[in-house]
Amino acid sequence: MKDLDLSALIEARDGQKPETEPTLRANVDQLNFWYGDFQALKNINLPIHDKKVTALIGASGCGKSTLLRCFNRMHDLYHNNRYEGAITLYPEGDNIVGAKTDPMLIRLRVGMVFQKPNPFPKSIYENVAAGLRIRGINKRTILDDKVEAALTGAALWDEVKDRLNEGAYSLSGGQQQRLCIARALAPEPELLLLDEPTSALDPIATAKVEDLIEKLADNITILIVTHNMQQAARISDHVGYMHLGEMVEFDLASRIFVKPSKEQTRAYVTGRFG
Amino acid sequence: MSDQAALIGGAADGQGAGGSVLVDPSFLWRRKLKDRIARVVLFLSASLSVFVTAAIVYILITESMSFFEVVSIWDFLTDTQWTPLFTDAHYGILPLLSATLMVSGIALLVAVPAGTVLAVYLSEYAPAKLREAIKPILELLGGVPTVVYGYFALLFVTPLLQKFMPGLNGFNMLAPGLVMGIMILPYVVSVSEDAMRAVPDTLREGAYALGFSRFHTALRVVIPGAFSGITAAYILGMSRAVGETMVVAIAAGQNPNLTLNPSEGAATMTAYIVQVSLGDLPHGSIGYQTIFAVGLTLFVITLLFNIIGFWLRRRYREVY
Repeated sequence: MKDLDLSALIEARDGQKPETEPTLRANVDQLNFWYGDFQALKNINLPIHDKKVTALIGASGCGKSTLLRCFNRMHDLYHNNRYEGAITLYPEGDNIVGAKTDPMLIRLRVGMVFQKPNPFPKSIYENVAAGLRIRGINKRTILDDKVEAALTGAALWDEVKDRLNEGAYSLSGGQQQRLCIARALAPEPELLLLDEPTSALDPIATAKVEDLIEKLADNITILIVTHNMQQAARISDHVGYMHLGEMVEFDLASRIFVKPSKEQTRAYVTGRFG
Repeated sequence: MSDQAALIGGAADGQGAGGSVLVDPSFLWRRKLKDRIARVVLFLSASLSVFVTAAIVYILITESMSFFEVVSIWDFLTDTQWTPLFTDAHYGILPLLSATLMVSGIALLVAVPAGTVLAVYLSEYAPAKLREAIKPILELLGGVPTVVYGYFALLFVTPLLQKFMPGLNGFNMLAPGLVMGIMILPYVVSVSEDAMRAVPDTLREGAYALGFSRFHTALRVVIPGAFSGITAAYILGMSRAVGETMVVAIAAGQNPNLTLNPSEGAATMTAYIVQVSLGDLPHGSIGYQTIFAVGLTLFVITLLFNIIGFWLRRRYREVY
């Protein structure tokens, strides 16, 4: 792989987004995580800035998806997984991975979009409404408004407004992924987790989802895992580079991609490693 | 990159120098022959089962034809009495049909709710070890000879029920219905649990990530996702209940009886066939032919269920 023209991407983007005083939406503090006996995360520290896009990059198996899935306690679904340390969710200051924290309550506040589109076997409308119904919102007029708002937010409304009652599997892969984004957006999460959301999509659908993520960041905090360095450069404000379960470097995207402080990071972002 | 290219180049050179390994023509020829023999043997065994099925259907239909030359299809389907062996013979299938549907219906009332709940528990709640322990036990339930279930219904369940229901006949449709529900339970559980487990974990994760509880995940995502398979399980159970013979022959009595009261005894279609087959009716007599007419009806009903099941499965099949 040749050197990417990442600095140009950063410049083009930073012109439109002036830096503001940072507030934190979440903070990872000395987080360790084990799959059984295997320690997948080692002493991770990572601030998540409010209404910014934070990207996690690194080679396969470096632990970036594992870290992302700590934010909504996805690991609790499987046995023998263990957290240690803290992920503080602001402004309340709850510890997401605390032993006394109810993962279900965390998941009501933190939304997630997965690698492969995973719409439910229901209509388009009911997919978006699912998260609202689970929160006790069943009034048709409210649902209608929120479903439309979420689908509009996910840049899908115009394509599906005349077929809301059709099955979700009638949509294309890219549309399904935007439907899943709408589903995650509808309950207005405080933090949105994206786990390689474009890895199963073609380039056109990928571009649409990337545009969408940039727009969403105006109102919502996003943590995204990506394999694609250009994608990270295009859409993220901050980047964490991980290797073998450790956070090697965390900084502004402009620094990570242009002038990283560690040689290991530089080797990775310029494509000489990984 | 260059290392890799060198490796590939080296391999290609090696092959060029050594030539092809497979040069022995008799080896190739024998391989082809074996392949052909395997194909013929497999085809023959496949056609054998098709041939046997076709032959059964052929005999059912031809023997029934001679029956329907004497009794009109209209009478067969609308007459409310089934008395083929009386001097005043009536050939109305309705009493037998209603008894079959009544007993099967009771069985389904037991097996569908219990089976679905058990399948949801095994698939979504039970730890892997417990599931691996329960499934073989359930399959054991499916391996109990049906005659045992029949005597269980007649000699245990009926007397037990009679304590609460004094009006219950010694031969009744309730007890065999309940017992048959237990009997088909393993099929319903096993097939619907497989369907639920086939729902990919990514869907469950999607539901949990939205804040769903385990119960809501099962109810709103897993069950709808497994709908076609669960339907297939119900249909399979229904087919088995309709065709089940020993339980009803033993515990529901042998008396054709058109009634909606499950506390009365009534012969089902299968029970009638047993009764007549065990008797000494001469070949070719109308009484003898009745069993083929009843058998054909049974066959058509089961076929209908399978077609409905097939249709439902295609209609609601989810492509994840």
